[in-house]
Amino acid sequence: MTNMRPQKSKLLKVVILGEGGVGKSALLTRFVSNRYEENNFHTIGVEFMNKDIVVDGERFTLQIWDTAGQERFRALRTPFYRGSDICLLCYALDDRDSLRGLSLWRNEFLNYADVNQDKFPFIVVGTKNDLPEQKRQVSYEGVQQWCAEQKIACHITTSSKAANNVTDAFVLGLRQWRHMECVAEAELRQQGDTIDLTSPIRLVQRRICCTGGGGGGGGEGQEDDAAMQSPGKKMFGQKRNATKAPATNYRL
Amino acid sequence: MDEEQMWKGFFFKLQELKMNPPTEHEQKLQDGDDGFFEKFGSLLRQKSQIDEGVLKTSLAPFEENGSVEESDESPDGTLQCSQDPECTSIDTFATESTLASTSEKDISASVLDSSPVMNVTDLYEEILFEIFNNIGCENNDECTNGLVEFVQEAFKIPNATHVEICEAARLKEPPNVRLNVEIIKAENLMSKDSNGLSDPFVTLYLESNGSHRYNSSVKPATLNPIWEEHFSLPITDNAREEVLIVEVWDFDAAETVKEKVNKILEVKGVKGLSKLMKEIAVTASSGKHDNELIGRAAITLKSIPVSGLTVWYNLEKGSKGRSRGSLLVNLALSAEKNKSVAVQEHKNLLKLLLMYELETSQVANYWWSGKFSPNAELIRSQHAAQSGLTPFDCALSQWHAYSIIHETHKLNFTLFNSILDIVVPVITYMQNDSEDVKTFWDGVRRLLPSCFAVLRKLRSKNTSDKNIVRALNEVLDILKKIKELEVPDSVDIFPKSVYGWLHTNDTDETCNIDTAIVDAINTGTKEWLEHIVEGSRQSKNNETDDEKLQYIIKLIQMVRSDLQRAMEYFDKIFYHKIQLNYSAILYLFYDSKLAEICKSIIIEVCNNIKRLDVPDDQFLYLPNLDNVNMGTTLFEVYLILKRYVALGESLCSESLELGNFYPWFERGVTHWLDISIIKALSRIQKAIDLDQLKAVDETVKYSSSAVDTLSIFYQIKIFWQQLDWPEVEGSYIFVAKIVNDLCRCCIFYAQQMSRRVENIFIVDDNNKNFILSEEWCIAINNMDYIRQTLPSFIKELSIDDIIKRLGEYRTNLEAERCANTIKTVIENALDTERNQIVELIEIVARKMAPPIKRYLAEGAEVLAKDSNSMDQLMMYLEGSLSTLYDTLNEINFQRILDGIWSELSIIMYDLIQSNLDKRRPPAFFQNLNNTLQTMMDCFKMGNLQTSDVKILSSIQSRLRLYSLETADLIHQYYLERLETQKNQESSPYGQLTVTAQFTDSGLLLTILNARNLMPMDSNGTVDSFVKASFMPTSRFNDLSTVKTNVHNKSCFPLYDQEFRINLSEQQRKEKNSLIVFSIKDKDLFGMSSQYIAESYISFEDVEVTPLGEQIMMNLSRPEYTDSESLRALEYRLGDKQAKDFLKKLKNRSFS
Repeated sequence: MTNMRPQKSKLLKVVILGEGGVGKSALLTRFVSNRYEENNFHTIGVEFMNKDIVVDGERFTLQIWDTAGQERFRALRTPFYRGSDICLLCYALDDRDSLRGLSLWRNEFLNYADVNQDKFPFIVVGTKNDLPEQKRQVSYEGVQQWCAEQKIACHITTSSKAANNVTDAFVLGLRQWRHMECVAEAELRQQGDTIDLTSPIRLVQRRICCTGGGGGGGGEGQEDDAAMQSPGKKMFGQKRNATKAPATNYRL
Repeated sequence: MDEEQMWKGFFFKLQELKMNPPTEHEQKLQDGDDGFFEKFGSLLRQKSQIDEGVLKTSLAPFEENGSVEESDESPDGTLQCSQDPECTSIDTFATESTLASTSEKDISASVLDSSPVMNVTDLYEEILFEIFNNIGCENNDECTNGLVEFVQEAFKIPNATHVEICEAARLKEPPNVRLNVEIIKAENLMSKDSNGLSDPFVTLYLESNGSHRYNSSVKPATLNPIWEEHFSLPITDNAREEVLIVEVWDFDAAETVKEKVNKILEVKGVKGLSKLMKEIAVTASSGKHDNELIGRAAITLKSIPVSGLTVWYNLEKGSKGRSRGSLLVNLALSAEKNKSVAVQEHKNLLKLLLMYELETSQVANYWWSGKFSPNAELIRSQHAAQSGLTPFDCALSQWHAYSIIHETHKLNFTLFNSILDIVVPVITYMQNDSEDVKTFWDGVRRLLPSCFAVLRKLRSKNTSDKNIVRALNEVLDILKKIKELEVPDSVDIFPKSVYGWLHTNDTDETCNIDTAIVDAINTGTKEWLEHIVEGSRQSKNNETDDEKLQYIIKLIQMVRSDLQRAMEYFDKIFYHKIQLNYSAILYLFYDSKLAEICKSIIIEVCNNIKRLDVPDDQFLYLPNLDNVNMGTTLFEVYLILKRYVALGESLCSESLELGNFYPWFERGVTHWLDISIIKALSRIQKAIDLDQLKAVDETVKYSSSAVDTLSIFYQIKIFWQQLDWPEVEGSYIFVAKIVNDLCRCCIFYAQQMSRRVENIFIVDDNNKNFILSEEWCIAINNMDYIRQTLPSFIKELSIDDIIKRLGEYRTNLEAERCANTIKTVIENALDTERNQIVELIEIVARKMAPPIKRYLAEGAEVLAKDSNSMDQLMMYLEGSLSTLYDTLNEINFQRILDGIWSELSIIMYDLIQSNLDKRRPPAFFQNLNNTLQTMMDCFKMGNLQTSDVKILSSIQSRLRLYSLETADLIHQYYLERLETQKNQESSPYGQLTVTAQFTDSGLLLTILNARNLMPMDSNGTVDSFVKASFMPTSRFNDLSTVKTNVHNKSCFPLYDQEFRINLSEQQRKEKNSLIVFSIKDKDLFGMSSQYIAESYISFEDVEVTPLGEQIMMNLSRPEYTDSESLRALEYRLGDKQAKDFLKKLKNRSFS
């Protein structure tokens, strides 16, 4: 039906960064298609997927760019950072260095995405939390400390293999985004009515998007679904600001 | 319009664009960004094609393009100087030769100094002697004198010396292959004279030539004379059969032989000499004297060994056995001259002659090919013949002599080549330590540097100069012949002092001709490359990036033309002669050097690129790019390198360092993509601003900005095709970025196009109606056109191929993920753009709403029955829709119809509501309804969406309701009640059962019973009766209501009463007429009755019920429900009937 009026949802661009091999693509695949590829594969440059998600009654379409962690793709992946709304910084729980490396990734992102680092929703995502304690190299405290140093509010651990906390990670990002947006809006309101678009504070734009195909359906795990409804059960960090983002004004 | 047509149309347009010079429109458009896309797309391609062409044409006559090559040559055409001694010597010699050869003597001196045996005067004498004894030359004084003069000049002999030597030469015996005889002495000769002694002399002759006798001197008055005289007898042929006769005579004469012999010193010229000799011979042998033979010996030449012998011969005469004495003779059968001396002479003669030749006839370098002047040739051949030199001896002498001369004055290689043909077959079979072999290799040693110099200096000559090709041919022939020979261990043909450039100097590898050839080629290449590397770079310090890149381009172009030349002119020769891939050697040499130079420059330039502020997907602002401009140079370099590498791959099988050139450009490409998206966006903006929103021609329904935008895409595509990134992963990522950017362009286009037309609001003058202009349709078409073109356009970026290669290079899983990424990006863009189209369409519909609304309202006015607003509405709609229909494609037309209809429903709702409030009479709504119906009939309602149909039909039913007269409306209410009753499962008021059937005259109605009646009295029972009436009352004015009897105290009363009611046929026909049964409670006093509940049956129900079947109805009370008809009634506040009805209804429902 070419002329069917599609449902409106907010469009957000999400970028997933992190060292090669920490499991970024696995996270994305689990989130979007609820699948887990046992075969090891590398992302070539960039991958892109859509996912529709309803959080707190609001409909979102996430446009997720997954990047290749290998250094040689560096020049080629950075152009895709622009216009991001949310950034997931991924490390693997069994790899201490991958956490340390995140600051480089964050800097690369900030450098190329050209966003205000204090007002941008970064989420630190630990992968492979299905690993037993003895195989882990990163402790909860270690992450928390690192996040505090980097002034990142949220972190979460996930397992793509065990389908644990995967959707939560994205939902967490979404909520953090909304929070940041509210903060920015409040600041703007304080500054007065005139909104200067060239001012250095970059407002995360509201977009109205309609998505067609793409975001594969696939039933989500029970616990994942729960995460979309109730805030913060497994979240660390900041409380969600309840203020609603402005609604879209579609008739009918 | 299907996709294919679209494409055809588009490409037709592009074709036109290409053929025509840029139009004013395009000019304007391109001015904005200085033709950015054209530069990188078609113009770059054109340029590189032209470059290619120039390269090719420039090569044939090399000098046209040869600014570099020319600068490589000094004005007089000699080779340019370089540091190694070989070159220098060439140069100095060449220069001197042009300076009237003042120093020629020094050279000849130096040449001769180098020869150990000879000095010039000896040779001079020898040559003069030969001249005097010319074989084959006519005895012609003039000729001889000419030769003598020539030789004197050639040898540069001062006159005094000349005379002296000349005399000496005249005294010499004529040459031939000879029997050398030394008459040493005789003993015990027979006495012939009276004094008891003899005056003996010896006469010798060959038996075959008795007339030619040689006489010794006369030894007077001795029997044991000692002569020790040498004779050299020419042996003609048949040497083995020849017999030498030696006679000893006693001299006795008036004029002695001695006197005659002494005259020899007085004779002049060859003629005189031979006369005298004849005289002597005659004197000695003829009878004209009184000499007496003492005795003779006959010696057969057979008996003489090669080494010669000295033997006593007994002299005999006749058969007498008496001893006549014996004679000691030394016999040697050999050339008179020692061969090595002769060869040495010959070499020196050749040198002198040649130097004279070069001096006198001013022969240029590399020119002389073995042809002497007649005089010189005569002298040379005389010497060769008279010295008994074999052709091999001559050739070897030439080889050596010429190679020495060649060291200072270059001779034509053809000469050496032809000499080799004679020498090599013989040399091959000679012992390595023989003198000849040594001589030969010494010549080789002297000759080779110049051969390699030719290889090294191939570039210094124009290829149009046939000589260079010829020289190369000869040189390679020479090298080929030499390299097939085994070099004696004792000979070092590659002395380090001369061959500084050999790579084996620094390694342990042994050098041979083959490696030296390659080294020579490489050295030449290196020199040339160094020259152009330095020469084409202006100043290293203040170079801009662009200049650096231009430098690379220039460099590679020159290298390419060098290769081109190599392939065109030299490859065949090299391969044919020595199976060497010349251009491949060149290429391999250039490869690493160029890679080094290019890599550092390109990476440096790429690193200098400043990152750009690319707008995000919102396009809120477009960065100002006036000062951000990227020259095409970087990509010219890329393309040139690409072609250059392709050339290399066809030439060499080795993997090339330059083959890895593309990663150097990664940043550059990324940057270009960044710029291109920004430029594309701003150009789209400009294209839309400039767009007149008029179809570009009659065949299509889109306007210029769509074409302009697609041209941008097209240029991007060309750029991408040219880039043809060799590495698959990189090319995937780039193409993903390009696809993403194209998608963003599409969305941006749609956004901007929407914005553009939103501001177009044309109204017609009379009615102030919004006129749906063609612009709007064009805008929608443009967006749709771009949207539909996008996927096929992207397909042309050969993504499928990249994905396929990815699958081969990595795994199918990874390739699939990549394919999905691209697919998703495109789908998103298509969706977004479609939504933008739909939004725009909705806007159009909304703009059309006010006039529609006005016409509808006007047309519905009761008072204005004669108004033509209905017609105007239809005209407006038709006008707009026909524009739409003509301009839009079917899908969008359908979309806009949908939009209009959904807008219409809003209008209708509004109209109904506002006019209800204004208490418009039912006729108003009737009119409205009629209009709506007309519109629906006109505009193909069949295609409407179900949701729209639902909305419209609900509007229609409301309109119908509102257009009813009050009585009808009330009846409508009851009909609604009937519906409600039918849907009721049970009822708190009880049920009523009746039968009813139509008869010929009317209706037969039997009220049977009621059940479960709601108790009304305090005792819990009911005193009920049923009253039946017909509705609407207006139809049944003549009828009175019928009633049953009252049944006391029963909640299950059994009435069982039959009524016959007369109905006219007309009355019976009205199917929606109702029979209303009201059950009432008769109160105690019978004064009034209390209403319990009621039920309904329609005539239609009666008709369809089978004969005699009971009809059971739930009882109900009218409720003041949210009924459409009640609401309609409520609006009729001024209507008494409505007012009364509602009052009554309220009473009942709230009782």
